[in-house]
Amino acid sequence: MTQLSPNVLELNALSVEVKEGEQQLVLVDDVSFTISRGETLCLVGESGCGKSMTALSLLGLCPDPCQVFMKRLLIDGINMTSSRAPPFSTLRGDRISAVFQDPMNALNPLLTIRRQMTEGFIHHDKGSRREAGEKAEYLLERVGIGDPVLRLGQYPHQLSGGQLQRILIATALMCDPAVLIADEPTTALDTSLRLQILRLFQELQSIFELGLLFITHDLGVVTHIGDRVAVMYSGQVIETGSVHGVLQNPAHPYTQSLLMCVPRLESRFRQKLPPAIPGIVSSYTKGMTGCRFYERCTQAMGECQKGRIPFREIDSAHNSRCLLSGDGGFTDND
Amino acid sequence: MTELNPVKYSQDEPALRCEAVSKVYLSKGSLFSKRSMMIAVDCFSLKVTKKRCVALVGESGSGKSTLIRMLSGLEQPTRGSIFLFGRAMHSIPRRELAKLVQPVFQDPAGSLNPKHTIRRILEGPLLTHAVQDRMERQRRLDRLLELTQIPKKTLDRKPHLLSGGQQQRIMIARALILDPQIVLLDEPTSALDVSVQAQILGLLKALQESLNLTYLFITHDLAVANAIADEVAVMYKGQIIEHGPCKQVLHAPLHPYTRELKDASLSIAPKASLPDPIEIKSSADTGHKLTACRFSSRCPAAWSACRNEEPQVHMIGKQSVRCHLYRTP
Repeated sequence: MTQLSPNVLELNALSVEVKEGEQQLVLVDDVSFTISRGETLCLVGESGCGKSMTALSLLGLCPDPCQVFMKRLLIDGINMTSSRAPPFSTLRGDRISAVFQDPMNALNPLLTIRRQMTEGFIHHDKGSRREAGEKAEYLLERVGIGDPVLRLGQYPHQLSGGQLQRILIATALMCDPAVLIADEPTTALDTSLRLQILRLFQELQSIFELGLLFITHDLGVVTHIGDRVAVMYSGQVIETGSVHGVLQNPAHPYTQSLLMCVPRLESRFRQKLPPAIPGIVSSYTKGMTGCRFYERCTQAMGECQKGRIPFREIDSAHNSRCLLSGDGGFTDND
Repeated sequence: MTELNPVKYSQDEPALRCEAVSKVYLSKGSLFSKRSMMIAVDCFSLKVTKKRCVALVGESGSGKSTLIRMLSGLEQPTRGSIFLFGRAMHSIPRRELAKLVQPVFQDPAGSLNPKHTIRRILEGPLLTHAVQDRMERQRRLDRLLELTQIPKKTLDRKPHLLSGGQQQRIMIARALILDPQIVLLDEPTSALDVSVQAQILGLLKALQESLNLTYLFITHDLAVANAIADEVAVMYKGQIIEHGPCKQVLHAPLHPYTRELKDASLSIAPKASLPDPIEIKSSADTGHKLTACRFSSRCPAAWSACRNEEPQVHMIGKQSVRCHLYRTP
């Protein structure tokens, strides 16, 4: 494998469209990002903003009626958009793997943990059944499951939600992937369990030098686990930057109001209710222009409805898709 | 608007009072296994004053949902009694109970019948309670739609066409259509996005003020409790282990478990590093020793007394706490 760039994942101009009746709905619009080895990129947004569609496109798992377009997708140095690209199935579970939200439904209740953990390893010809078992034991120990040999012989219903999520994380690491996609892996878990799983992700990432794409709607999680963050709204990335930069100085009005919405514990006195963002997310069809947040934005102006809103640079690593951000200096990221 | 055969209740009594309520589930024994006992709610006592909002906080398996099932009359307590405005709950007829207490559940999509229109869902309780006059039903619907900010055109739609936030508004409207006094909210916002959560919390607060409602608000998110509740009660394995005014319990927690919960909630304040997770040694065991503190197996401050004696409730100022650390020697 050629390791020319430090990026284990490079995505350029991803769009996902689906035909609904007469209309062509745009679910994901022009999403680009890179993740380097050992880095965590958090993809934040509310339900329906296209986070999960983006993740599924990276895995080549978009449901059938969707049309996926991208200029370039590099996974661990392999160009998936060239004419000689290997099929996604050869990379999935090997170079790129994923952990999903609900650990209870992610495993087959009829198969043992051993069978499900070793399946990918054997499928990708990484070694014998015996080696697969040894690797699974090692990884289970790494993710904090006591008595791995016993657990490997058990069925999913015999384990708790926290244990299952650890097993799924271990399973995703069986083939030493370069990129791990975690799609809301802590949403179904309790507060104290969530903390343990987040800590586990951090540890594993430093051991295995993973490029981690962490999808979440919880800004508290982003603060603690991310290096960089991309905020999505209605299919577009509307703000990207370092976690510190974006959460400390949000530039896009949507990010600003999203941060205001989060109920906080640290306020010393009984705080007032968080202010809500009025209105709902509107879906976009092909050919529509202007800012997608226009109808809900408190600072909207006439110009916001004209043309595509380009990214504007706030500083070298912080961009926002809003006309009010930065002081001029257009930097179209395409 | 004509009153809907109002239920008589005493104004001076607390809206809701649980006295040593327990719920025990027995598993069916078989040839090879003994009958085992699962204590879901254990000697639970709580008083909720009228027009207050009490948040019940705890992790999954702490018995919050069993409690809601008992309070809404779906389940009978094994021991102890529940009083609504001073009347024992088991003496209140089913129909009258529905006009006093209504629940709102976590997952609106799962609670709304997908084959019924919103009109049918909202009118259902009125028809059950014999509001025959069509105009009267319409008047009630209109008033509720206005209160819960649901556009009128949604009445003829089916639930799957609505967003999660709209569905939860419908659930709230359905709970309020019989003018209940007490609303049991079982994690009403945990399935929603933050911006929608903020809208629903705002709506609940406004409704509480305009309709003089009493809330029992179940949540696992301390920050949500902080935003809406007057009092916070923390539950662990079926017991209340700490209870007091919101400000004190959340900012100066006494019980080690409440402290752990507070530390585990992630703030969005920048530069905060990930707090150290507490090792959970045996959170899965439900057959706990009855002569020990329920939290002793996980507690960082546990000492010999914690494993051998059940702690009593101690009052520290306005807070009550069930922990040996606060007993007077």
